[in-house]
Amino acid sequence: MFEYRRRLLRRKGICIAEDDSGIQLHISAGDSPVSVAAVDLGQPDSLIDVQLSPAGRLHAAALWDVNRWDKALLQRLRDEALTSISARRHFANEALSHGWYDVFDELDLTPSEKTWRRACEAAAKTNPGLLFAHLSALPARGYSDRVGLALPFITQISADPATWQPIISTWANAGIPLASEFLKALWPARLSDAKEAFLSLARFGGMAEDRIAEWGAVFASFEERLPPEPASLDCLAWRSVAVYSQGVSGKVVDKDFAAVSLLPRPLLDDLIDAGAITPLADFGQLPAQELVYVIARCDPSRLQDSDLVSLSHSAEIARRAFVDRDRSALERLSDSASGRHFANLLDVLEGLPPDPDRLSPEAYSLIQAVFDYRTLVDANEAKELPEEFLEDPSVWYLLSVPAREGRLPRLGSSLVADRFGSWMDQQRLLGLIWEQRWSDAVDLGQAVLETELESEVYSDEVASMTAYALYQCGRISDAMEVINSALEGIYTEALLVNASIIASDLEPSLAMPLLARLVREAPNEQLQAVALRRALEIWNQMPDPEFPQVLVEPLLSVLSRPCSIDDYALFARLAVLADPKRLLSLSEPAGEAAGPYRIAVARSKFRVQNDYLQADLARDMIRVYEQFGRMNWFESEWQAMLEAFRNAIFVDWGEGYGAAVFWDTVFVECPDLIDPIDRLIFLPQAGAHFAAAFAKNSTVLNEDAWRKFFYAPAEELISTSVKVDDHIRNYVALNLSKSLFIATGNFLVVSRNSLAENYNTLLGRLRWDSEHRFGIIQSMRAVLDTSNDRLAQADRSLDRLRRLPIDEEENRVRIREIEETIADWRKEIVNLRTNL
Amino acid sequence: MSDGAPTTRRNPYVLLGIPFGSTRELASIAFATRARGLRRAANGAERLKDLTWALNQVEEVLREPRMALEIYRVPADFRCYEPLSPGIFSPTPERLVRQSGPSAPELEQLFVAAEDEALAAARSELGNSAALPQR
Repeated sequence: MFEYRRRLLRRKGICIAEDDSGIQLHISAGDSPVSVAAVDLGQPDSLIDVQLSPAGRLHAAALWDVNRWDKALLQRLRDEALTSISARRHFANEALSHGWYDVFDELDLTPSEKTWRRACEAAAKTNPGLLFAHLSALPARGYSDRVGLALPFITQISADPATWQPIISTWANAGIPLASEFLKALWPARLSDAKEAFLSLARFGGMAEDRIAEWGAVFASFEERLPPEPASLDCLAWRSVAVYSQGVSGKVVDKDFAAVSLLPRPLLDDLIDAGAITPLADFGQLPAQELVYVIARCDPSRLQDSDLVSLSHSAEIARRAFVDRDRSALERLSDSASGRHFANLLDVLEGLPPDPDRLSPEAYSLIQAVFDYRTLVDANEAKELPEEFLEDPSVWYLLSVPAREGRLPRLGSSLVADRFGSWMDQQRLLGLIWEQRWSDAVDLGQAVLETELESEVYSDEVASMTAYALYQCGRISDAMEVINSALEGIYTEALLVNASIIASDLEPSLAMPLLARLVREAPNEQLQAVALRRALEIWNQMPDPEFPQVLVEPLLSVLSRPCSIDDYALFARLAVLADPKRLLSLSEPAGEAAGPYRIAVARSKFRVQNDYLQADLARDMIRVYEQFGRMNWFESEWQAMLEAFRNAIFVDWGEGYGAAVFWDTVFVECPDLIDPIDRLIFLPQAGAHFAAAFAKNSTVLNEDAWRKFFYAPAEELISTSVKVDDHIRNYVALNLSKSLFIATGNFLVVSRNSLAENYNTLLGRLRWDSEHRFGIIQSMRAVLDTSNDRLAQADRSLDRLRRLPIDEEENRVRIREIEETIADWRKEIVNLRTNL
Repeated sequence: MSDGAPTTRRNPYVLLGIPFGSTRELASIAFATRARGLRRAANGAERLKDLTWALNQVEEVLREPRMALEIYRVPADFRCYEPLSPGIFSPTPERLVRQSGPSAPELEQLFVAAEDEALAAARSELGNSAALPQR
């Protein structure tokens, strides 16, 4: 189709003829064809596929605008283009691919050929259903490329044998090429039946040669029952069989265990029996019902006892009972051969003879031989140790006693004989220790330590015993050196204890880090606390009172875990000394330990926090008392604290203000916590300190304070209601006398100075302020009245001083001094009042 | 204490010749064994006194030996005095014997399934690589 241009007119036309000079275009049914010179022609219109045959192009153009063209003309021209069979076939294909089915049906081709071409078209459009329909409609013979047409659909066809198998069988029967091979490749009885057919089809289908070879090898390996692993992860059974085959051929398949984990139990058992599955495999991939079974078969040590019961695995149950030395469990298994075997092994370990009816024959034979040999040893007739004993080191145990007593003959040199020799030396070393032959033990131990021992466990044990022998010989430095070498690497709790014992005798400070280690590494809280207490005992014996820094961490560590209330109280008290700041970061424990904890916190705050004062400390102690009562740990802390504040109050008057606050707070808020004597001593002391401290600021105690600190205690003492020894009563009275004297003296001095200053100020004003003379005189009289009040207060104090139950010169001196001061001031007041 | 002077620290277990932490029953047996004939031995009375002290310690004082950190542990590691492994007296875990029967039927089934998968894979590759014939 081309575009025809004339002046302003542009129209499409169909080329219906051409020659060297140009073409003829059919414009429409009403127009005559027009000639267009070749030079005037543009490009063909892109609406029509130029790859089509001439008939195809004509038909496509005719469809473009059906009402415009001369249909008869175009029909005639198309028929002229389809005179040859090849042109018709070509056009038939074009008609099917473009959907011109009406034209296709009218084409002059046989029905079977049309069916074949429809089948080809269905294959090209990947429509196996349609393909099947057309192939089914073909005659039995002819059209030999049917297999080629179906081959790309082999996967779909193989999945639908009901549809396809009959027709392909017909092809095979009709001798259609490759139809028999196709049939075998699709539905073989076994893979081996399909092998040759598949390879033929692969060659026919154009598969690459190397791939054909690889598939040939795969098929062959299946025949040999040793298939390779598949490339595709989807082939689960193929992959399982590949891994299985490798496993039963002797390869360990732990890494590929996932591929066989879902196999039936008999196949898993094959792999386990072949040693292809080891304890290193990831058994987590097994289904639950097989997990316990497979572990029992591969690594029974990982099973719980309940698993063994569920499997009725009596052999392992009996073994475990033997290892645990659990005789009653073994008795319950007496019905099984394993139960009887292990029960008799236990008998043998306890000194009974072996029983041939209960032990396995091999075990009985060996044990009986050892018993026979031991009899020879006991009779001093033993010579060379039979080789068979050396092969099973567990039976050496039966020779422990003669080995410890040094009654076994030495063996020649060999790897196993050397191992036996080391064992014998170690046993003998223990024997020498028990015989208390220290020098011999040192010699043997040191000789053994110079040899290459089998394991660190054994060398540590020899070192521990050698160190003990050296220690008993008094060679404590040497003992320390030996046991220190054992502490390198892996060591036991017992070795640490032994080292700490030697260290505490050599130099107590050396024991501290060892016991600190023991606290850190002990397996339970009880042993941790014991180790810490032991360290503290050793510290108490040391001249240096400084708390060992190395114990701070263990101390805090023990306090952060459960321990007895006594231990907690002791350790918390020490932690206040050791590191009060870190103690404050500990969490409060549950239960009664919260009491000592709160006391330790209060004491730590008192030590490190400037704004935490004596009153705070007293109140926190009172709260602990109110919650827990006077428990032993509280009493111990409280008495220590009282003692500290007793000492703190016996300082220069006024300097014990803080201690006075403590005593006052406890007296006011929880008098139960102070016993009567303390109250009679420390309340007046506190009052005197307050009075002296106030005097520095020219202030005095108020009336209530006088009653609380002095008069009430004095009246109690005077009333003789306090039942105490005379010398204590005398001491208390003297203390009260002294305190009252100090307070009264300060009171008189501060009051007189203060009032005198007021009076003199008024007197000075009277000289120049005649206008207010009367008021000033009244104020002066008021000052004198106040002075009289103060003197009355002093008289009350003097009265208590006089009535105190003491007859001591120092009290009389105090009374006189107060009397004189009062009299002097009173005289002055009388004079001043007279002059007013 | 300095080097050269023998220690006076007594160890009841060593005196009795029994392992650290032994039971009272074992201590009694050891006492009887060691005390036998001591009356006629030199220093017999002194040694008997030691043994009596040791027995009393084990029976009455050391109720929780592990907590007695002032007593040297002999032996320090009891594993060294247990039967060595492997062997009759130190048996390794017993593996369960096979509980299933012959595997031939299951194996055959597995092979059939595997062959099916192999053939399917081969067919898939064949189908993908095959071109339609020319029309």
